[in-house]
Amino acid sequence: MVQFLIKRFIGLIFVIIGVTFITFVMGYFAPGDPVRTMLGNHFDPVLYAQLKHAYGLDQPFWIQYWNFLKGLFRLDFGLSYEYVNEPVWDILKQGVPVSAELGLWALFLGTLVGVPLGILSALKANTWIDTTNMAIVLVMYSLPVFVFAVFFQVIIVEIDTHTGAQWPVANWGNPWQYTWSDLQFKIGPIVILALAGLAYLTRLTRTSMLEVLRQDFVRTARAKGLRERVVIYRHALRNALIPLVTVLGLSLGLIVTGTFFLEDIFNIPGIGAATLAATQYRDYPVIQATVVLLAVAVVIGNLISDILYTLVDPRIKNT
Amino acid sequence: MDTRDKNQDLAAESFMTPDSGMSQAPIEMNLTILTDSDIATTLGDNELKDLKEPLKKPATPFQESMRRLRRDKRAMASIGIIIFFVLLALFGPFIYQHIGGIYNSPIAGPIGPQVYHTFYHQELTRQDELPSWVYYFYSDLGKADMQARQLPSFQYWLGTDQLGRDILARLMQGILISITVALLVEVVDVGAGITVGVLAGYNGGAIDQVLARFTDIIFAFPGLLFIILVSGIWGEWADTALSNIPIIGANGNARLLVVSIALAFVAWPLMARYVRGQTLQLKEQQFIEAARTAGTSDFRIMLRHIIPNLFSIVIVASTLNIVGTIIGEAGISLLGLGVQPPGSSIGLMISDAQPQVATHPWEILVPTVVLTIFVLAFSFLGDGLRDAFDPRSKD
Repeated sequence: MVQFLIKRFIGLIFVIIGVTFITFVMGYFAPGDPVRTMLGNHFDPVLYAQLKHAYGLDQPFWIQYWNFLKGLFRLDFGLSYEYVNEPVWDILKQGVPVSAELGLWALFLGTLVGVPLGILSALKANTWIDTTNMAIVLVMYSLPVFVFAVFFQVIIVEIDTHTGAQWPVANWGNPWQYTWSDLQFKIGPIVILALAGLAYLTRLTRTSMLEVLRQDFVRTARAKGLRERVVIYRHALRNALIPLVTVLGLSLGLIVTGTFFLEDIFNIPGIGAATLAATQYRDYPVIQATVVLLAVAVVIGNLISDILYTLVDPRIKNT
Repeated sequence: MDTRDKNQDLAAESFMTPDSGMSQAPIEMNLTILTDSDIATTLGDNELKDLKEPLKKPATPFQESMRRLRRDKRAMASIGIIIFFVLLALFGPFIYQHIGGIYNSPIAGPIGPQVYHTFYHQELTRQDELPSWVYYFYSDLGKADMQARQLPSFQYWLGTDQLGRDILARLMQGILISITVALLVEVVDVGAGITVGVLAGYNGGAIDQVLARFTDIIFAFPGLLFIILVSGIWGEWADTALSNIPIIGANGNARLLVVSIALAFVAWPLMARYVRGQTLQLKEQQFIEAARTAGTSDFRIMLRHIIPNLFSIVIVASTLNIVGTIIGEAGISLLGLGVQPPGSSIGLMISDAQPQVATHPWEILVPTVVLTIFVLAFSFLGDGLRDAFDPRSKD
């Protein structure tokens, strides 16, 4: 167990270094000289040197990378190029609770609906329930979230026009508050984002459940006359859920990229929207910061799911 | 899954038998009694051919797969849809620009369809009276603010957008962009995936290790995030630096090259991993061993014996990857990081129409529905190909 975790942890460090390095290199070799752009027509060699120093851009490559890595641990991503003297973290700070709220609710809702749907499909395998369920899930799995977002908006708009309802199609209420008007803003994006993880989870749960139902111990349990309910819920289900723990990281990845589109389409003030705004002004530190933050979140999600896997499945210890 | 490697031959045989048995129809000819010349004297040429025909070889595994694919209605319908879209993108604009009469534009003067049916022509002033039923799709606000917009008519088959640009023309250009990007990415994906995958699988060692570490990093990194990073940082540079490249650089498409490279960069490790797995299996098989015993060089074994056998896995993986590529390009353009105006892309059309979704839902529905159909077609085709080429993968 400990050995496994150490191995995993070393792998994690490898991956984080890789991810941060790719991100850093992108920014380092970015076209144009940001300080030069900042000064514009008021170019002055002394000021130029000062600014370069303030941004740490006069340092050699590896020292810049080291500073970048050090900054990550303190959530210090340097200064913004666009808003002079403003730390990148201040720009992202407002967006984090909003994005986190959207993402976590979607993850929760996706799991809450996806797993039972998968179980239902497996129990009714090859009946019409299973077939329609899997057909719907296949469509959801193939399509990107922004397509659903657009369809949702169009439908809401049509309902609003023809019934006079005032359901909003954009914006976000107060983060982490759930009055009725807040909920109206939030339900749509959260449900749509949940679809991204839901489809994947449903397919996986079904496969996993079918696999377990074919096992000998299930047959034994049936043979000794246990009630079907006991066989399914106490024997099969608990084993079928084990592999699901591993997809936490993957659905986190789906949800992270999904937030970018939903924040763009629904005009939600999260970090995705802040990052996209930064691309307009070539504010590279903001882009780098977001990418590293989200990538590290996904990587850590993967690690957590690995640890959970060893906890729920004792057989892993031996490997 | 675990028995798959060991019993592969067994499994392959068992699912082949019912079909291949048919072609070896029982023919009882006593060739020792009748010589060729005897037959020739008694039978006509056609009958002679008939006699020799039944001896043809049983279907190859590839032909078997194609037969399974042809029986899959959903996959065949998908192929039809894809072919339709490809033809529409390639020849549609050419035909469309020859349909329609001369129109007296208040700004541009008399112009023919070769002008107003281009994807970038803006027809800003015109406003038409429309039949009342079409207003069903429009709110009161939308009716008041028609501006340069037009609903579908004989002149503009799918209407025009807020700048008076023909939606059908933009749509065809958008599909062309999707296909171009998918092709570009697939060339790199398949090329790099096969090269690295075969080398890693066949030789193992350092290349294998590097590939494994590299794939770990790429898989941990959400692909789209990387593409957003790359196109966010390099997009503006591409706008000026790459705009001289013909076709792909013109009309605000310059960023596509950057987006394509990024898409290919995150796609190929998966292909390499599939290829590596298949190569590991093939390497142990007897025909490779036979080739090696006969003194064939490693390079020749890879080129002549391994790579042709990767066909099925590569075609399935690349079809499924096209789904991701089309979504990726549309998504990046939707976020404003891909194709720039006056160019057109499905994603850009969605993002252009998005602010007016409350008043003009038609404009956003057209590109979204087309993208949905296109993506689903590739997705179903990929599923069908997988079932046809690798029947064991099905539960």
